[in-house]
Amino acid sequence: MKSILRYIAVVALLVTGGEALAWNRLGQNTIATLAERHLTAEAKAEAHRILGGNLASGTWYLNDLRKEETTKGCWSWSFVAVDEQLKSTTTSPKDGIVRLEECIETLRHRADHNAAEVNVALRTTISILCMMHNVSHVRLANEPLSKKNFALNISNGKPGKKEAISKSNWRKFWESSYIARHSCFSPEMYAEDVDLYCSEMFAEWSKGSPRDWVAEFASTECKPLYKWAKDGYYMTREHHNRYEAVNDRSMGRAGIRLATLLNELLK
Amino acid sequence: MKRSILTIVVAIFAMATAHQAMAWNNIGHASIAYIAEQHLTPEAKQKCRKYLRHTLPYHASWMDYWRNCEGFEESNYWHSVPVAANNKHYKSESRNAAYQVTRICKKMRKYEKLKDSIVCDNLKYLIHMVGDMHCPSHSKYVDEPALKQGRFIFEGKKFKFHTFWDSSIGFCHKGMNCADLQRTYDTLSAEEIAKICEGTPSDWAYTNAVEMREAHQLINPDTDYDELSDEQKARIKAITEKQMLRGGYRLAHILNEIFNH
Repeated sequence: MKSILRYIAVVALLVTGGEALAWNRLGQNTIATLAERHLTAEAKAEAHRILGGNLASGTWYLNDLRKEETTKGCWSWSFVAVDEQLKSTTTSPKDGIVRLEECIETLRHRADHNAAEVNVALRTTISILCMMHNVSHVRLANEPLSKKNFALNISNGKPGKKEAISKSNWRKFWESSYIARHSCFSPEMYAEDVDLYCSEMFAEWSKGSPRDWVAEFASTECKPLYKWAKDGYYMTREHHNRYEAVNDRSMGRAGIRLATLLNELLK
Repeated sequence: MKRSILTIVVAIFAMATAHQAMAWNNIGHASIAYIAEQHLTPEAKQKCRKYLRHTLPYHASWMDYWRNCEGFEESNYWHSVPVAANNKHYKSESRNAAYQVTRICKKMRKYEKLKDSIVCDNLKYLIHMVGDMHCPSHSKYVDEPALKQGRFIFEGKKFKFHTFWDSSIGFCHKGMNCADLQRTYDTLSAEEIAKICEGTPSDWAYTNAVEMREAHQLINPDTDYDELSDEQKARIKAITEKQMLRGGYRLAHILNEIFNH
C-alpha cells in the first residue's frame, strides 16, 4: 500500500513538475525579451554582467528554486496580495512584493554585497516582476476566489455534438492558454507583438513604485475578472478569445516595468 | 445525366462540409504570415501594423479561433477551395477561400474609405485565407470524396489525411519555430518570387489544385509514415515547404498591392 502511495506521489510529481510558476517558459522569456528592448545600453550591459547572460536566463530562477526541498517555500513569492482598497500594504515576508523590495535594495547597494547575492537578487527580481503581472497570482482581500485555483470548463466553440469541453483551472488558464496560441513564436517575435500592442501605454505603466504597480494591475485588470469568474465556470470560445488582450497587456506591463526598474537600479 | 446530377450532389456536399477543415495548424499559418512580413514594403508593413496593432503572424490563426462564434458563422465556409474534376474552382461560389480573397482584395482597393475596424478584419481574413488556400488538404476535390476518409499513421498515431497535411509543416520540421522556418527556407531570388506571384488568386487556386491532386497520390490510405521511402518523405517535406513559401510570398504581394496602390 505504502509503495502504491509512493508511486502515486512520484507520478503526481512528474505530471505537475513541468508546471510554471506564473507564465510558461515562452511567456517568461517573452517578458524578459520585451524588457531588453527597453533597457538603456548601460543597464543592459550591467544586467548581462551580473547574470552572465541575458535577462531571459534569469526568468526561471524561482521555478528551479521551488523544486529544491530547502527552498520550496519560495513558491509564495510568486503571489502578491492587495488589501480591501486594492492597495499593496502587506509586510509579510511570504509576499512577492516584500521579497522584491529586499532584492531592489540589494541591487541598489550592490557594491556592499558579494557577486552571488547580487546575482540572486537580480534573478529573483526578474522572476517576481513577471509573476506579479499574471492575474492569477494577485490575491485580492475582498475576492476569496482570487486565493484559490478554481476549475474552469473551456469550450472549443464547436456547435452541438462537436463541442468539446476541456477541464482547466484559473492558474493554468492564465499561465498558458493564450501563450499556447503563439507557441511557434520565438520570444523575440512575441515581444515585438506585445511591444506593438502596448506601446501607447508604456509611459503610463512606468509611473510609480512596484507597490503602485501591484495596485494598478489589481484594480485595472484583476478585479473586473471576478465579476464573471466562479468555480466551474463554463467559458465559451468567444469569451476565451476576447480576453487575450488582458494577457497581452499583462505581459506588456511586466516587460516595461522590469525595464523601468532595471534602468533605474543598474546605472 | 445521372453522372452530372451525382457530380452536383457531391459538389454541394463538399461545399457544405468544407467548414469542418482546420487548415494549417498554428505554425503553418504563422510561418506563412512571418514570411509575408519579411517581404512587405516599408509602407505596407507600417499600414498593416497601424490597422492590426500587431504583427501578421499574431493574427494568422484568428479565423480559426473565431469561426464558430456569433457573427462569424458564414466565414466558417471560407477556409478551403472547392475544386471540380477539371481542377478549376467554383468561381461564383462564395463558400470558397479563393473567391473571398478576390472579393476582399477588391474591397480593400479603397481601404482609406473603410472604417479602421473593417480594414483590420479584412486584413485578418486575408492573412488566414491566403494561407489556407495553399494548404495541401484545402483544395476540396468534389470528384474525390474518398480522400476525406483516408487515414495516415504518423509516430504511431492515426491521422485523417486532412489532419496530416494540416500538421505537415510541424511534423516535417520538428523543433523549429516560425522564425527558424523563415530563415531556413525563405531564400528565393527576387525573380523567383516574382514568378510565384504572377497571376490572380484564382490562378493560384488552380495551380494548387493540380499539384495537390498529385500530392495526395503520394500517400495511400492507412500508410505508416515510417514505412515510406526516403524519397517519398522528401517529397512530402518539399511540398510543405513550397506551399508555405508560395503562401507567404503571395500574401505579401497582395498586401503590397493594396497599400502601395
